[in-house]
Amino acid sequence: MLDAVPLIAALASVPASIGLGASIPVDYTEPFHLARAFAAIDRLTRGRGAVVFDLAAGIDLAAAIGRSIEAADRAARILEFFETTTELWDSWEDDAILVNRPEGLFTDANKIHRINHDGTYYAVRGPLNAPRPIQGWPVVFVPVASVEASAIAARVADVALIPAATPDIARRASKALREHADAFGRRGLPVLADVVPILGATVAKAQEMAGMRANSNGDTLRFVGTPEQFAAMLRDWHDAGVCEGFNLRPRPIPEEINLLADCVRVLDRPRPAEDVTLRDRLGLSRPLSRYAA
Amino acid sequence: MYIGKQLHFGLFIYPGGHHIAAWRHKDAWSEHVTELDYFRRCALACERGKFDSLFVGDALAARESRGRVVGEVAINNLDPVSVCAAVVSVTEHLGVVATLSTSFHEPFLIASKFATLDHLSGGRAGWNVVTTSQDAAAANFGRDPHMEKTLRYARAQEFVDVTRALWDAGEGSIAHHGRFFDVEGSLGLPRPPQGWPVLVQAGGSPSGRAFAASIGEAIFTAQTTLPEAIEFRSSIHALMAARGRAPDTVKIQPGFSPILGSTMAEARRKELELDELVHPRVGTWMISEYLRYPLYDLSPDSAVPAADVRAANPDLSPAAGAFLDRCVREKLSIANGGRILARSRTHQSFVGTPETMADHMALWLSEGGCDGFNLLPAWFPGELELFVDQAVPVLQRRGLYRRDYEGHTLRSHLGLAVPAPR
Repeated sequence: MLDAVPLIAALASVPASIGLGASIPVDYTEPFHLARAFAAIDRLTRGRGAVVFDLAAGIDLAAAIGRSIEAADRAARILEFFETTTELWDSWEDDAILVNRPEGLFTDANKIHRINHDGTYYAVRGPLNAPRPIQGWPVVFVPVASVEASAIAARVADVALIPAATPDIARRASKALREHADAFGRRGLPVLADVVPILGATVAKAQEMAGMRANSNGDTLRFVGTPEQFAAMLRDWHDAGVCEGFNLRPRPIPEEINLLADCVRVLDRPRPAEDVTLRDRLGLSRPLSRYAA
Repeated sequence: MYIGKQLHFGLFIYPGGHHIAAWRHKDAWSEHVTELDYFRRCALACERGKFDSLFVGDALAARESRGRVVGEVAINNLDPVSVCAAVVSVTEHLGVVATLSTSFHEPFLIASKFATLDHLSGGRAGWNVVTTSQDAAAANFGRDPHMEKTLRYARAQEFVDVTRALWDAGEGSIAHHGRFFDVEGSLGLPRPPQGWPVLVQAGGSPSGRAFAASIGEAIFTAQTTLPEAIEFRSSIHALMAARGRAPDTVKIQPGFSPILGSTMAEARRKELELDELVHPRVGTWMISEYLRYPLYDLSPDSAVPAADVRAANPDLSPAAGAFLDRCVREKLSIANGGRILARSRTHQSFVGTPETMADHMALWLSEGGCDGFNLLPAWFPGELELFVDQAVPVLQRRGLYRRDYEGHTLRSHLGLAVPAPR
């Protein structure tokens, strides 16, 4: 499997306003490494970076890393991981960089803070050795494929991704998730539904494509049809308040991705302005540094 | 003079430049050191200069002095793998070398990162394998102090063995059970285009030399005089021979920080201008950090207390030890010692014209002091672009340097073969 961080870093040079997210097996990395890599990604992409908390990689990776994850207190550990990582992103206040040539001050040392995190699972002194991300914190996506992941998403996700085979399932799942998030004072958590589109210029063509494809996970919506039909379905779900949007999971073949672009044209969404951060596009607020006076 | 071999160049990129005060230079791109354009502009200059690679160093802790960040110096590089991936997407030939520590990572994830970088770039990736000895870094990864040196290198050797096995296995699986790691699995990727990314090493201590002779394919080193450089290079070749490795399977590149002028007087004037930009606190901080001994309470004009430093640090690195000897030999004050470190830490700094620099490099190459240089321009992008546009043509005219790339991979630029799978 390719490592997602160098992949999105390589896409930083593609001139576009699209967000760039990388999936990270958070059980097997350190807060300092993750905070540092995404501070770089967010700078290189001018505020388009996102982290996807991969909570499902555990079993596959345990043998490769040579360390299995403790199931009992996993959620508590992931929450502390998130806490520590965001402390590191906050450790430089937004205006810590001065580049004041006459006085010889590159940074304002008063605005860069040790975090002195000394918790149950992590001990990290800090500060991070990279300036605060453009977005404050890169956007955090959490795929919700288990009860545990749902509990974690309610506490830390900027955006939750849910598998749902029907609108009713999606509505129930997102309602439960949002209520859970509300309980932690995190109102209006956006939810995107996973969907696997199998598209063709005609219905027959799409069905032919679908026939060539092994059945995907039965929990996830699989759509077979034309771009116009797909666009209509997306609009219906959205208008019915099922979810805020979709996590599209096409096959990596250019024809299908081009057809997806046709759907976007049908939906006639406004083009985002240049140099808009991913947080702005998603309507998410920018977190302030917890260390700012 | 025809020497029969040619120089290799790598660029060591750094925020602002390698002179510690370079970021204060009026034309330095100091406001842009975290932007893609900074890396793009430097990378394009490297490619115009037909360099082998762009090298990104690493640190796992902010630069602090007595518990506070040092505000008078530029910030650390951004995450090396991310920078390298961004650079390969804006270049066609240039190799990229990312530094990554074996002390605070796991082999499987690192093997995957470099396999990705090598595939993405069509075979232009290198890994500078370092072990981390800073207490400040250890404090960012738990409560344990950093590992003792021989243990660090033993871990590094096993770490590299595991990553090579994973690359060699390609889509097949490995099962490794060793002293430090248990790894069972597969990267699920074809073997990288270069077999392995080029393995770079930079340690100068006895453990570091042994490790370099074991795994190094390019060695970034820091000798500042020709006799020292010849001694280092032949000692590496001898250690390699004992392991059955041919000497031409490694390229040894001392650090080299040029300040160039069209006349000697102009170059000297440029050096003086940079030296005057060094903040007084910075010199004392640099020398205290480098010698691992606090000199903050002494007068900057007092002599470096070499005996006290040695007593406090019995295991000073060879480079720091050599610098301490120099302080004694030249009766350097703390301020003057700090100024020397400010130029290029302990790497060789060279002030002169493109012609005198070519003479100097030809001598080092012909006498066996190096296979090329890891370039540390005083400031970016100006001093780098001056080297590429003024010095490279002189070296090319003299037959000391290639006129164009002959291949597309970092191994081909360095004249290294793709290793056979083990």
